[in-house]
Amino acid sequence: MSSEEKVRASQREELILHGIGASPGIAIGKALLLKKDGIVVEEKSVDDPAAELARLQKAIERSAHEVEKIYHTAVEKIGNDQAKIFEAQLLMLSDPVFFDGVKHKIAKSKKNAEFVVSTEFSKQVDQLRRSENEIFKQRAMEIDDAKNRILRNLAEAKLKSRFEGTPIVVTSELTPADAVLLSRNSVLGYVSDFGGARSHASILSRSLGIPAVVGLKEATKHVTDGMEIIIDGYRGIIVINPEEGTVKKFSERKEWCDKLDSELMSEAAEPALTTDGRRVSVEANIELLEELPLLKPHGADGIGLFRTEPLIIDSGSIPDEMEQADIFRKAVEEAKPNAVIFRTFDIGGDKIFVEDHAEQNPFLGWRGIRMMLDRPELLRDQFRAILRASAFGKCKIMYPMVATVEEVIRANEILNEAKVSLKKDGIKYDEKIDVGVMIEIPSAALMSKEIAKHVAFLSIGTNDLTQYLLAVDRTNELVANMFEEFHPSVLRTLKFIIDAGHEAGIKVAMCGEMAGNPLATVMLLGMGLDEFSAVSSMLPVLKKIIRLTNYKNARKFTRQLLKMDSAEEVKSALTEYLKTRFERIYYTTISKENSD
Amino acid sequence: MVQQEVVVKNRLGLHTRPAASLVKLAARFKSEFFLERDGYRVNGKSIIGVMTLAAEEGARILLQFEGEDEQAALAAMVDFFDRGFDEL
Repeated sequence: MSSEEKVRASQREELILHGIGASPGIAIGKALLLKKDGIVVEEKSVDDPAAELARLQKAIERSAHEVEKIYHTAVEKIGNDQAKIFEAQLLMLSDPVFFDGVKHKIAKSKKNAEFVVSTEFSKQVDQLRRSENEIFKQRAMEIDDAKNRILRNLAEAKLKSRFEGTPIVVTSELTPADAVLLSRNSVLGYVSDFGGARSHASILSRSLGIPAVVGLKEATKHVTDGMEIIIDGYRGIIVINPEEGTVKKFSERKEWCDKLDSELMSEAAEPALTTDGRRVSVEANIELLEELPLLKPHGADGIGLFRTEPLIIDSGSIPDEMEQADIFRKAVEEAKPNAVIFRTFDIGGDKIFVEDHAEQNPFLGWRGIRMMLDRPELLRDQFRAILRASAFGKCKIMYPMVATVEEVIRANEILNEAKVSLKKDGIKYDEKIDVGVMIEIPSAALMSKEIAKHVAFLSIGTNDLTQYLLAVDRTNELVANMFEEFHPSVLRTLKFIIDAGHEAGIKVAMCGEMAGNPLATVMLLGMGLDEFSAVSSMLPVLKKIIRLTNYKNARKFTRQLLKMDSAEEVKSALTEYLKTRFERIYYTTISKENSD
Repeated sequence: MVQQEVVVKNRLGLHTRPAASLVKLAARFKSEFFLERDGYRVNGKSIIGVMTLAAEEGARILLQFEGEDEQAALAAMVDFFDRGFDEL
């Protein structure tokens, strides 16, 4: 049996694949395969070469537009000289001689654009690879890049037109840009071969409320367009070609989960007050303006983290002061009467927007406040934009990736300059705007008390704090399973930060992943955390748990947890707690077991 | 038609960046432009073609122009090669 026949035979059988639940929810629907670079190009005959030429033209234009954006960003970020390489890419995409040849061939041979583009480019690449000079062999890659970009855009053109239904998108790797772009269509769910629960794209799926299962290794091999699949984002599994009984089972489970959801939603507006009267704040992390309408129905006490870097990723360039101010104002007005905490651009790490600006160790590199302090004009513009928005409602400012007290002092100075310049311009703003620091680097954690003297609040970023404490790159699949936010070293650091903030008389918040994990809620409450900020969809769950918890008991319980030796011990104690006290929440959010 | 042989003088050869500059320079002239190296001939207005020449330092290349401004075009291109693509 050939491999193709095998695939066809397997199409009739139910197949369960195990991956990582990246975004909760159950979806049952038809698959849509999203093709990426390096795809095998099929040779097809076409009846209408003119349509192929039009598709090619569109793909070339789109590709050129992409490279232009990258080029401009590169000029801004890495300078004219280095950016020249993208200029060459642009010239390649508008190479009149080469593309005339391609177009001529499409018209004459009546083959599909993908096939002709691929073979014509390959001829050039092969010619270059024949060179004995190593430098020129490498240039072959640049031509290959141009080819892949056009092929991808040819595929996307196809994708868009077929995007009328409500598919489950299956792809090798979901990029943050994909997650955002695709969510503008109606998508039931995301499935990908690679990626982890904490990758940026997964976080995005959660905030968009789109169920996602990632890290399935070979989902794209087993799935073809139009196949029926079920995805269970709670448990991280997908079922390909489900039998009738399986569909029924999952439909029931979906119904049951949806019911709990609507119950939680109906209570979402009630305050997060413990049974013994401690009031905490439960706020939303916001990534996209599309999420703003989720605030009120999910009972958000404001926005605890407004990420500003997606504005760059979205537009491909850094928006100017007025563009930013307009967007910030929208968030502020939506959150009223609650506050919005704007985090200044956190570019770098896994949030790089210039694809080709590669650092050997981006997580230890030029990112967050470091980059912004090197580009004070960018920071000043952003401060001015936030200050402008502060005239319309309560705003706070937060600095990411702070490692030292000096960085805080320097950023505060630039903030003051921004205030002075706005005053000169006669523009109104909140003079007493609060400033806070994200504590996500171990050095900052240890210096929390000193940092606290210069700011009005601290906010803990657990993802980075965990990866820096444990020296584990969460996006590296080889070690990703060692990433453990319940590690006692992490928990003790959290307690240290919270205590340091309280000693200095300021509030301590958490806007990392852990704040939205129901398993951690009782423990964070017991540590004395003042503000939880998480993806909107989790807020009703957190509020429910908090409302049914006794603060004094939580403190006692947490003291025991902090004495434990291993993450396993901590997690099993917390799991036991959640399972006994909040059985239904446990089964929809945490449990990997079958609940029926 | 006018033609002249030139030598690549810069250390890195006719790599991506000079190829881009060369194509941009060629586009300023109306004449047809071909480069030939060891019998392999490419259109000088195609960056992809020029890149496939893989012309390293010391490579000998024949420049051919044909058109109304062929003299001026050849002079400008020879000068560009003599300057080592401004990378000397």
